[in-house]
Amino acid sequence: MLTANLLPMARRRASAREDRAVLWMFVTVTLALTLAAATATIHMTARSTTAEATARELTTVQTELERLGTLVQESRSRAQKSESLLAAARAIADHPDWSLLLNLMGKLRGDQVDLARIALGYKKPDANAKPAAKAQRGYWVRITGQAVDQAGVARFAVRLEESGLFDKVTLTESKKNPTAALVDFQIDAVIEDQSPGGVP
Amino acid sequence: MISPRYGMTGIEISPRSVRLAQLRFEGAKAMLHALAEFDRLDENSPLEAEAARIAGVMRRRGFAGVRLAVCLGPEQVMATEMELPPLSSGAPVRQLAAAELGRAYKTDPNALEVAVWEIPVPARQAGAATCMAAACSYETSNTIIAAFDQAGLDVRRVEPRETALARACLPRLAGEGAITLVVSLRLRGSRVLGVQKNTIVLDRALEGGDLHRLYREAAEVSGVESGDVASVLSELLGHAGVLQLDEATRAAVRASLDRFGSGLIEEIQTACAYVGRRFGGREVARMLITSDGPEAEPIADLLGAVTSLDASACALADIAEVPSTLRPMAVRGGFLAAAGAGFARRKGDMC
Repeated sequence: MLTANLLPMARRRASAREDRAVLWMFVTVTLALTLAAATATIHMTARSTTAEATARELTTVQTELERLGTLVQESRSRAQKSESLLAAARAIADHPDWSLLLNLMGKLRGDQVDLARIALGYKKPDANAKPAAKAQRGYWVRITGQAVDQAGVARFAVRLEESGLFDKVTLTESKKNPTAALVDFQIDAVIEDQSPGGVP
Repeated sequence: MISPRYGMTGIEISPRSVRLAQLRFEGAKAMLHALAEFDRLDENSPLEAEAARIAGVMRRRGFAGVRLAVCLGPEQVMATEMELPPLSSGAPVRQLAAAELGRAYKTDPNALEVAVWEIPVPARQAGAATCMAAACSYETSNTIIAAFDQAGLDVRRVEPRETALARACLPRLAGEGAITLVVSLRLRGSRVLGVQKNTIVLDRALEGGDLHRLYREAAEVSGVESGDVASVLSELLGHAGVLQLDEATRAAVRASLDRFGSGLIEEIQTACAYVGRRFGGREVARMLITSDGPEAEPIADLLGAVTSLDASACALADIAEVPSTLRPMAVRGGFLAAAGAGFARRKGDMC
């Protein structure tokens, strides 16, 4: 019995209570610190996980964007090629069959008119015209030639107008050629395009 | 790396001096942490004044914490051997012991804090056990507590000097079942303790063993002041000294020391015979000599040679590692009880 503490029991109990209080305080503080550290760690881990996930997502989105950008670029170049092809096809496919016009001209001229030149081209839209009219397209046809007399020129113009092919026929010039005893003329006609796409 | 734990500061206040010792523990290893000794203001100086000085010394000398274990002097302890119901019987043994002590010391048993332990000897009557009881009055302990409280120190244990000393000697005790005699040489009030395992089974005064007799005789033959005799002995025994003793003085002091040791032989033999008779022929296996001065080793040699016992001095260095800075003070002896008082055996005893 080598421990004989003769301190009054009340004092010993008070000391033991004090020790317990200190111990509990220590335990509580340690626990609180541990919990705080654990919470902080979890929070940090969660934050870093979220950040990592966001970074990963961002990278994925960036990759996807790059992929889509490349696709768009490829699609664009394909579309350009297609447009070029389409334009070429249109240029070929939409070209009017002017041989019909020439045949018709041949029939309408009769015996008293010689055709020197037939020129045609796309009609320019009228700058003062309404937008709807602007969209309307057509062709101009300029016919030059010689006739035996002024009456022959007039008859030829009338026949052109009566053919129904031209929307407008104008005798723009008619003068006597003194050297050949013939009448030189120039007739301007217009073929309006009535189709929705403007294609003749 | 193991962080050190500090034991309580053990304090022994004798009529002439105050001794403080504190151990620290690193794992199972005990090390002396701090040590201090100073003279009291006077023999009857109030405890409050000494407590204030102790607090100051503790601050200056690097003692850790404010928890104290105070050794009680013989005049503060009531102790006796008595027949009581066994502790395991469930009887109110402590109250019975208090009543017995109250009757013996003519004091109020309700004002006593009592410690009781059984002594392993055959009881004189059936259903009874031979017990040792030690008590301290609340008046005494409360005076000590109040004085140290006032100085900002926290008294956690007050105990008889003998139990503190025996606890300090624990590492040097003989094996289980064997009895070790612990001879405590003091200026006044030398005692011999019988310790078995962890129980004090014998506590008796050592007649003719008070050191003041040795010091007085040594002072007479050597011509030095009696207060310097401890230093003379210390120098004589090979410890550091500045007295530059001549051979004649050395021989005279040595002869006094031998006479003092021889005077103890009869007492020791009586104690051994008593132990043999009381404990059914069980003999003393070892003898440890502790002293308030530096003379423990030569006396142990002398007693060992005469009694054929395994006798040796027991000092601070035997229970703890002593740093070189504290060694000169530690070898002077006298700190064992203070160190034992603060010798922590449980977690609650730590600072």
